[in-house]
Formats: sequence, C-alpha cells, structure tokens
Amino acid sequence: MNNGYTGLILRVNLKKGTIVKEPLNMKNAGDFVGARGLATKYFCDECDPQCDPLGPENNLVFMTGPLTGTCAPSAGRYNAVAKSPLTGTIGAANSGGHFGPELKFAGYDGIIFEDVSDHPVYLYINDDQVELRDAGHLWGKDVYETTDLLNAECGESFRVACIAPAGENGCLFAGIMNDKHRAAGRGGMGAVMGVKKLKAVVVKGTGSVRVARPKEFFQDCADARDTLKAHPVTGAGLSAYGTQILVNIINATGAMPKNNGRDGSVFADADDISGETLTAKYLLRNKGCFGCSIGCGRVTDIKEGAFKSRGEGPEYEAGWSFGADCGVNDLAAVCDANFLCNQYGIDPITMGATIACAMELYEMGALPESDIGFPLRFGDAAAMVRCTEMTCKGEGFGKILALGSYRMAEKYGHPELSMTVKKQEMPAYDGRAVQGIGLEYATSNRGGCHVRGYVISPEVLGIPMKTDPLVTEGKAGLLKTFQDLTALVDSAGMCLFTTFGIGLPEVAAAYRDAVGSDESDEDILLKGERIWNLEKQFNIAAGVEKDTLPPRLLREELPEGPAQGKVNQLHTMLQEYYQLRGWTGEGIPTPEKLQALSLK
Amino acid sequence: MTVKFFAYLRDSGYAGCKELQMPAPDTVRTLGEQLSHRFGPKFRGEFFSPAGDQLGERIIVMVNGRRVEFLDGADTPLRETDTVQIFPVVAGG
Repeated sequence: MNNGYTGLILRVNLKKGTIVKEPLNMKNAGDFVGARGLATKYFCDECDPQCDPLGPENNLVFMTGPLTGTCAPSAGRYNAVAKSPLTGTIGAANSGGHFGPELKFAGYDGIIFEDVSDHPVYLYINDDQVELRDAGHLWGKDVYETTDLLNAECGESFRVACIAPAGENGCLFAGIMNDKHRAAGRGGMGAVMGVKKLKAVVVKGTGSVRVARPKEFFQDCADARDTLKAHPVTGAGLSAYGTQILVNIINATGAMPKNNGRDGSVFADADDISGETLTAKYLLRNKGCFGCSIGCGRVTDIKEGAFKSRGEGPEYEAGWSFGADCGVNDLAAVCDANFLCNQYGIDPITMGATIACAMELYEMGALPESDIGFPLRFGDAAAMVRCTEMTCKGEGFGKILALGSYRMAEKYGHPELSMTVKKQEMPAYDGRAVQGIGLEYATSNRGGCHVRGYVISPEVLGIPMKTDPLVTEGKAGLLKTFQDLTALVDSAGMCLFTTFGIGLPEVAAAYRDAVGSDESDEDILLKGERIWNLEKQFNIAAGVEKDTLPPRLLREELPEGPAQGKVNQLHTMLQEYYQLRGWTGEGIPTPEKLQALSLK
Repeated sequence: MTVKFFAYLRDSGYAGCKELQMPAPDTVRTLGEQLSHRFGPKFRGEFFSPAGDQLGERIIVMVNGRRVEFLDGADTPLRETDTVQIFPVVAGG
C-alpha cells in the first residue's frame, strides 16, 4: 500500500513514442520525499550532469509530493526538474494551481520525459488512458489559446500544463504554465520542454489520494488550517493585498533594487506600484490554488489606457522587476508586462531584470540604439513593455533579451552588470541591505532565487522571529535551517507560503500520518538536508561556478536609505555556512557528510 | 516629523490616511499614545499589546527604515526630521 503516493509513474520516451507505467521507487520516495527532492533523485540517477540542457539527454521530470492532492493546507504543488539551460545547475521549478493534484487523481505521482520528439506532441492522460497525441495544430499558440483548444478537444475538466512560443523558440527563461496562470517559472524548464517538442500535458483523474492514518491526518490538517486562518498574514494579509504588499516595507528597509541596482534600493515612487495601489485601482478578486485557504492570487483588470489588459498578478517579484528595477512607476504597464509573461510562458523576474540590465547598458553607451530599435532608458514604461513583447514573440532585440541578462551583458562587454548568481537573476531584495538574503542568493542551488531559503521572513518581516537585516551574525545557521525546511516543504507538495503561519512540527505531522511514518521531526528535516546536498552534488559534477554575488553587491556601497554605505559581507558568512553544512572551505560536501546523509 | 501608514492601517477606523505631519513626540511609545488618542481603540489595539505596555505583535514600527526592535524599542527617541513607518505584519515573496 503506497500511502500518500499513487505508487506509479509514467516514463515517456518522446523519440520512440513509448509510454511505460512503472512502480514508484519507494525507497527513494522515503529518502527524498517527493516533488522537488524525488524528481531530482530520479534525474540525477539517470542523466549526465555534463549533458547539454537543450539536448536529448536532458530528461524532464514532473513530480508531485505525498501531500499533493490531499487536504493538507495549500497542497497543490508539483515540480518540474531538468538541467537548467539558463544556469547549468539543477533546475527545479515549482507550481501550484490544480495540475499536480489532478495528476495524482489520475493515478500517477510523476512523469519522466526522455529524449526528444521529431514533431510537436502533447501527452493525454485520462486515468488509465495515456497517449501521445499530435500537437502540430497547437505549435505557435500562446498559453491561453493552447489551454482553450485542449479543453475543447479533450474536455473542459482536463487540467493543462503547456508551453507557449517563448519555450518553443528557446527563450532560456521560458516557463511551464498550468491552469493558464500558474507557472513553474524559473530556470527555463519551458525551453527544455520546447526542445523536446512537448507542447503540453493534459490530465484528468477520478481517483483520490490514500493516506495511512486518516483520522490523525485529518486532525493534523484541520489544526494547521486553523493556525493559518488565525495568523494575520496567512489568514488576512495575503488574501487582501497579495504578495505585492511587500513593496512598501521592502522599500522602507532600503532593499528594493532600483534601476538594476545602479542607483541603490530606495524607489521614490514605490507606493505607485504597491499592493495597496493594485488593490485600490485594478483588483477584481483574489484567487487560490487547490486546497488553499490563503488565496494570494490576484485577478486584475486594466480597463483603459495604453496598457489596457487583463490577467492574473503581478506578484511582488514581477512588480519589482518591471517596476523599480526598470525605474517604472506605471502600475498598469507593470501589470501588462506581467500578463504578457503569463500569456507567452516567461519568467517575469528574469524578464524584468534583463530589461533593467539592458537599460543600464544603453544609458552607459555599451548597447547601441540600433540594436534595440528604440531608446531604452530607465523609467520608460512603454519601452519596457515593448521589450517584453519582443522577447515573448522572439522578435528583433527580443532574441538577445531571451538569453537572459548575463549572456546579453557579456555580449556587450559588461557581464558584471548582470545582477545574476550562476546566470540567474536575483529577485527583489538587495543583499546589501539584507545580509542573509545575499548569502541565500550566493548559495542557492538553482542560481539567484529567493525561495530556496526565504530569510527575508525573519530579517525584514519578523516571521517567525526578528533578526536585524544589517548584521551577519547567525545568518549562516538561520539560512541552513530555512533551506532544509524549504526543500522538505517543496518536496512534500505544500506551498511555501504556509510556512508564514506553520512550521516543521505541522508539516512533519502531516507527512508522518500521510505516509505512515514514525520518524521524528528531526529525521524528517534531515530529508530536506539530503535533498539540498543532492542538488549541490549535481551542480559540482556539472561544473557550476562557485558561490558568489555580482561585484555590485560586494563592492558598491548603497548610496542612501537605512543601509547607506553597506555592501554584502558574503565573505564573513560563507565559511561559517560551509562549516555548518559539513562542507569543505570550497563548498564541497565532505565524504563524511555524504555518508551521514546516505548519499554516494 | 512624518508618519506613514500602510495596508489596512490606511483604512477608516484606523489612521484613515496614508501619512501625516506632526511635531515629534519624545519616543515611539508617546507617538503610539498620541496616535491612539487621535484614531481610537482599533488603532490602539494594533499598536500596543493587550496589556498596553509593549508594542503589539501585529504591527511593525520603523524609524527611518529601521525596525524599532533593533533600536530602543518603544523607547526609541524621535526627532523632527524622522520618518516613522507603521505596517501591519505582512509577508509575501
């Protein structure tokens, strides 16, 4: 009996056109939980770390967690894992919505896609009926068109995960979109799908997820939901204002990078692009994913003007990347650019940050206007949206932007102006004003990313404890705990946002009673540490560059705000972090550590 | 001195405005007393703990972008040139 799991995965060879249903490796499920961790284990066992991420040897693994599709709070997640074409690291992109639960209801924990098809296809899953179907008529269609066509073709109740022209055209930061508006966004998983000529996965299931100790499990979930509802953030704040509510507090902290970070991190017009303004001007309603009581999603409508549009979002990160990072204070333009990213399947963090980098290159004279086709100065909302659209459609200068900021800045002779770690753009928090998040960016296993150990929570928001963002003491240990817990939560199939209200005890209890384990909280957290080390091992074998930050964060002092004069003190935190991880001074897991984690 | 309010603290029943200018009181605690007197019990309930002797758990008070917990807490002194930012507990990402 596979409690928490369906016990089956699909192995799809796109070149041969074969589909095999195989038993889930339960030993690996026990060690690596599910979703992010288990997909990474499957991937690492089967793929060469040196493989070309845009070649046929790069498998693409979709995987759910043992809590996905259960009544655990916000347990609607799945992960897409492959080697990232943007970073060369392990790529693991996490998404909500309803697709992941539906896959489990159909009877499958995950799908492994091998090799490449010679023509566009989509995978059709209707409980036991699984087949590859021709997708020639869908190629070139955007996310909304593709989803609507597939729903018309297969049935309205099918859930759709798909790519759009950005993924088809090889944009290195193309994502996989499911349920139209939810994204496995970062690291270019959509580009991997595009190379495979895999346009979409459609799924419908009529089953359910069995748990080992139903009575205890339902009580765990009810208790956790009560805690989340009583918490001011997960019970009220996120549903009322969405994640964009962070704009003003991060800006007040002096940590919201402005103009590619060139001009510091205090944006005078922050309130114009804030969650408060979004709510007052454009919000239609909030929206939640499967089994979510938080409902942080935004359904927004720009009714008139040059940026008239309608869609979902933006999240805080996209609000920053298209807003402050590009010097843009027009919230309608920010929304429009974000909607385009959803429609065409692009990661809006990398998109906005790459445009910001291009703006800096243009203003310093390194990027000629003739290459772009129009002026591209900070603050030009129309130019920002135009760049986004060109990238989405693979037109003109958009083909250069589609490489991401590092490769673009390198082309124009200034790679140091790319605000990336391991070639992925850092999100919306300046590591000079918040020391721990700088360490988090530097050590993230998928390149610049905030959700691999969101220490903004204690450093700025005071959740679950308050730590001073300007000090370095204690940040290494704090980050390690956050990284391991995040790996566990991601792998269990729950939304990371639940951890604003609940923590390891609640997650571990739900996991135990779902799968029928008697492991301690500490044993379960150790699985997160195992996953983290597995990812690190892959990156080392892949030859990924060392853990560091862009020179700007290490050398250019912030010109104003509460952190005026600060740079990130990475060197004072990194060695302590490696020591706490049981790694060498070069950041390599020691044989003793690997043995302790049962990793080869 | 400038005082800025965010999220639902801008709503009527709380501050009812985005920001206001006022003479600087001596400390953050005194500021809380003055604002509570001005805006009423709902605001006081957010700003102070139920016992009234500490800052509330549901509020974030910053002076010039620094949380007062990392300054002198409710006893943090205030100057005419200061900006005080008052948020409810928020999160996102």
